[in-house]
Amino acid sequence: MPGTILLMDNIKDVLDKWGSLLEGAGYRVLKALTLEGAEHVLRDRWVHLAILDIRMVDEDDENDISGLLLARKPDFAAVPKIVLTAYKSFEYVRMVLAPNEEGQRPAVNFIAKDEGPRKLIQAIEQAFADQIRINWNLDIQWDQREPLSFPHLASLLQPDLSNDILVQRAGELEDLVRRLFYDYQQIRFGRLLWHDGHRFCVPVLARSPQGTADPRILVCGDRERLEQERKKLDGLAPQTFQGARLAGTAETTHFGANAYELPGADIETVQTLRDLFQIGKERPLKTALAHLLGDVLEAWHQHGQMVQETHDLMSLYRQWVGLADDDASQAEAEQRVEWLVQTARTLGAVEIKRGGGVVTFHFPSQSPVSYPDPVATVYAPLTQYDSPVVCRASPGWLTAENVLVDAEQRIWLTDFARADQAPQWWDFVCLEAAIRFDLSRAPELVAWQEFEECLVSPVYLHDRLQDKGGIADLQTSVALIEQVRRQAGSEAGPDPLPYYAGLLAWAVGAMACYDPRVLYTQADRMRGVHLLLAASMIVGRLGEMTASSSPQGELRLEDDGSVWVGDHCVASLVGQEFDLLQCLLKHALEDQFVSRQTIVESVFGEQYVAGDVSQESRINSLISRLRDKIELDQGNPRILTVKSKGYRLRR
Amino acid sequence: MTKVLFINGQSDRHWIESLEQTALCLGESLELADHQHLEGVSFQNYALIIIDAGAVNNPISTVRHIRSCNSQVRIVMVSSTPHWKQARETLLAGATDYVRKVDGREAILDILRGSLFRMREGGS
Repeated sequence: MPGTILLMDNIKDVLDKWGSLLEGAGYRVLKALTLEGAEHVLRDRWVHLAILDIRMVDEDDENDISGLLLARKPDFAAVPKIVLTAYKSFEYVRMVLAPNEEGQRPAVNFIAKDEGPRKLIQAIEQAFADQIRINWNLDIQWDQREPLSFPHLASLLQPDLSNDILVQRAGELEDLVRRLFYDYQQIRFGRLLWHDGHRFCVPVLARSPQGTADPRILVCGDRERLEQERKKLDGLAPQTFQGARLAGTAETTHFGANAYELPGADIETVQTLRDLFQIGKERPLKTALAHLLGDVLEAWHQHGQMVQETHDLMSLYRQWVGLADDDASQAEAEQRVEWLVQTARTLGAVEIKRGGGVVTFHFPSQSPVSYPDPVATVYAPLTQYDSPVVCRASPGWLTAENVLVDAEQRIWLTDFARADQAPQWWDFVCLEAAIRFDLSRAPELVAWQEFEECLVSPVYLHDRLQDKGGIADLQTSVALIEQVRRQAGSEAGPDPLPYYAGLLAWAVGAMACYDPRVLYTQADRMRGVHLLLAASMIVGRLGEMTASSSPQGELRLEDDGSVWVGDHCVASLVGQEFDLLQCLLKHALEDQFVSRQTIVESVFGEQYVAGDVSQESRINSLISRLRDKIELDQGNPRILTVKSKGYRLRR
Repeated sequence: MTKVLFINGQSDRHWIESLEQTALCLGESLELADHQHLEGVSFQNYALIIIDAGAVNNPISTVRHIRSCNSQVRIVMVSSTPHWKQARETLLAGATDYVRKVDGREAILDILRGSLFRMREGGS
């Protein structure tokens, strides 16, 4: 395969002469007489190599290093460069070939024009072998049932391209893959797992020349996003993380690729959470969800925790769902929701009226029900919640597509682009929202109303969901959501208010994604109306929760770790949290406080060392975690600090 | 204290003394190695290696050999008569920099500061 080379020189005769020589050597040459022309080619086209002159502005000015400055631009770092110049000095060579702090050189070689074409061709061949590394002999095969193509994949990443640019991007994408699988003989693409307009994910089986087959999950997309994804995974993933491992990366001008391996998983049987849900069997779904919640997410959440200075939880949620903090954003969200209200009329199942800060739903044969407008609620501070927001390391945005499940119901995460510190309820909110809004199917909108009533009724996250059993299609969803909430309550405490607020923000963010210019299917429009109904009912529930009080009654700890306040199970404890509460309860019965020494000796099982900073820190951390889980009323705490002595529990 | 190695031919005592004193001023310890007796030198022990191009028989091979032993070390070639081709081959062989070898404490300070500052910035 011929390589494509950008050749830049400000003297036309020189450009034509060297251009002809390179074409004679079998290369495709794109010529640029100016810096702007060269930059245009580098930005818009895909070239394997750039050959750049140094003095592009003034031939007589030894300070003119404009060509070198172009070579240094980070945007074009993925394209190797050779400097071709008439001006030979060791200072120029230093500027061109000395590595910077990151170990990167502006160019891969420095050739003097009077060294002649053979020297240049040698340097080009060397660059193709050492830096460009495109596996021209790679045999690329496609899934026969759901075949893909590079133009199709390129159009998923950059949907609005003209045909001629699309052809170029498809070629660039193919080179990216040939670069990533440089050491392989053959690869076979599986079916598309997910795409989000900027990236796509697909399984690839790669065969080496020795015949070994290496399964990979390939994520391709915008180069900077992929680089960011690598950094986030590197910085945030827990060391004990047993998930996808980065096995290789490659870059071109516009695209980047990350290849992940799934140790121990049979990639041919891996399916998305959506696929598994559509099979309809509850047991494997619950097993997979248990692995996701108890192993994968818990490892992430324990890996990093921080307390945000802000108390404005809703503002943090808005950032996560992509709603900007300004009036224009709110106005646009309002318009999108208004469009959904109009759309509902065409569905005929419900009449929706919106105005004066209220949304009213008229279901057939029922009295109208009104709720406060969800958009306004999302754009206002959550007055019922006034505590510093605890954030934990999160893999980002979990969806029904980017969570993969293998044959043994083990979970594999594939999307880390938005990994960050997120409000501690966020991952659970995403999971519930995926089940609630993207996976669940109901025959009619009235069924959604029953479903939503069931989901907004609990007083605590641990409460059982009162599924009336009317809609068989939704029973699995209810069971799975209950499973998610139980883990959320166990990790973040039983208070459902911040959790419901996250669901509300998720739903409004999803409604704001509806673009009136797009032609939606009836199912898509039904989902939009379901989002509006759910968001409205959640807002109604949040309003009720303002007036509600914390549960009353005695605090009990059962042998299975469940913590009860009156009739409500408020938390589930294991390990040291269980031991600590047991210790506090035992002393509370005798109306005694628990000293820090007792905690170290009884709970940690260690000898107490007065002034040991590590022990003090672990005690504080354990007390804090227990408070998060069992304190329901911040104004009336159960665990009291006995200054300089220890802690006392009010049962 | 960072360890700096200077590979030379023992012929330029004056420059070595200046380098030694300047390194000491920066809090760095300098060791010397004769270019003819590099076999026993453990290049892993150094953060910066300076090679006198004029005193070493095959400076490019020396750079390549050091780089193969230690991928992180900074290698600076100094030359009293710098030449663009030698600069190219030296840098392509894996050197971090190629500079003119000039007398005077300030000039040596520039070389050391440049390399050591970049080294610390780079975190190596």
